[in-house]
Amino acid sequence: MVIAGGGGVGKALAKRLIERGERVVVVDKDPSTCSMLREELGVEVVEGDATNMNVLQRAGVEHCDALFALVGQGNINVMIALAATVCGCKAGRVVVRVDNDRYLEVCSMLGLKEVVNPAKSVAVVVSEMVRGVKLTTLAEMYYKGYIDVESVKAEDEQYLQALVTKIAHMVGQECHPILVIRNSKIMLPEPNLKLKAGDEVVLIKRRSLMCAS
Amino acid sequence: MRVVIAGGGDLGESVARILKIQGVHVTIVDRSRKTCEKLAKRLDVDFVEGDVSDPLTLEEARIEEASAFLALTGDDSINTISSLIAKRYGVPRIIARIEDSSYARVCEANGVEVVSFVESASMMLEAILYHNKLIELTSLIEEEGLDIERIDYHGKTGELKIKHNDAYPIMVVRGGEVFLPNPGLKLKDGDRIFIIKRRKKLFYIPEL
Repeated sequence: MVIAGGGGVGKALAKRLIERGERVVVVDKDPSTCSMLREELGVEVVEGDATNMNVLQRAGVEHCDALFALVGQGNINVMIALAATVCGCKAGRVVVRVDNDRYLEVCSMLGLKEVVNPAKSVAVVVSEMVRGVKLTTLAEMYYKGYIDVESVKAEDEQYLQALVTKIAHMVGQECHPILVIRNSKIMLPEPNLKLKAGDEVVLIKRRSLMCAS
Repeated sequence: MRVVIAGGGDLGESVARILKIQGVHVTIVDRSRKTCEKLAKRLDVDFVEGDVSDPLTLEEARIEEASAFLALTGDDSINTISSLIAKRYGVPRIIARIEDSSYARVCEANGVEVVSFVESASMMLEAILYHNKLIELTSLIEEEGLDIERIDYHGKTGELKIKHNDAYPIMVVRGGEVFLPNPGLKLKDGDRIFIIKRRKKLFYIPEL
């Protein structure tokens, strides 16, 4: 995993990924940030500008599974992602941090699909807290292995019937449908909702049972 | 419901936007006139220009009538101090953005809930990477006018049945274990029920 930008969010993500046992390389151009990361996290660090292809190559971007462009400026993050692609980065996941929504359209034009706006994500957490719900509770239960969330999609009519049968069989035993996504809109899986081709069904599962099945 | 937000940066603005959609009355306090003027063009909320750690500024924002105070500036010490002032005015729910762990301890010792920007943002990134659909979907859920809500159940053991059309159970948490809301699940005292619901209707009734 390559993380470009070792500031607050980049550092916190590096820590989480290391705890999961991932091999992480952080790229940062600030020497003092680099030595702090080495000391505090013991993580592999490449000092340099992540928009520079030599620097990206030194970080092993060609062979990484995921690239996170998390520096403070959205335009730089877009550049990092583009430079990495030119370097031969074939990572399945390229996540770009964009703080300003102006860049969203640019990103989609350039084929960068995984765009995050940290302020918006954190705003969701804060507004949930106002109502007394801690999203982190849900996340924690997921990470501690109590639950898993999975989605299944019916691409065409033919698969639809098989999917309906499969879900009907699973529900009541080890999983439970919580949402249906249709044309990027969320619907509640009410009893009289008829599934259509193209629908995505989000299911919650108990982890132990999931393993058993 | 009235909420006072200290700090009109990216985070304050995004939170104000979500709360506004939920029908909450929002007042943003920021020391910069430029920020207030810029936001006033984009957001239909009240503004008070001034120092958020000054009780008079907070009084101007009618802090004593607020059901929640959110300290969301980029400065831990200002967020801590303004939260403690809000506490003196009897605001029931206070949430402060804090990055430093010793400030976090001071806040928590005084009944102020703490949220860390870098921890929350990195948690979201981790969720995206490992496909935690539920967390990934939260922004979409917000936009679609749905809420995830926790209900603490107190009462006799009984069956979980939600009669409301606009609410749907996700899971039941009992003593650190998760149960799926399958037919036949018996609710017990102290269970925590997570539901997803449409925002308009504000209650649900489990039938016992």
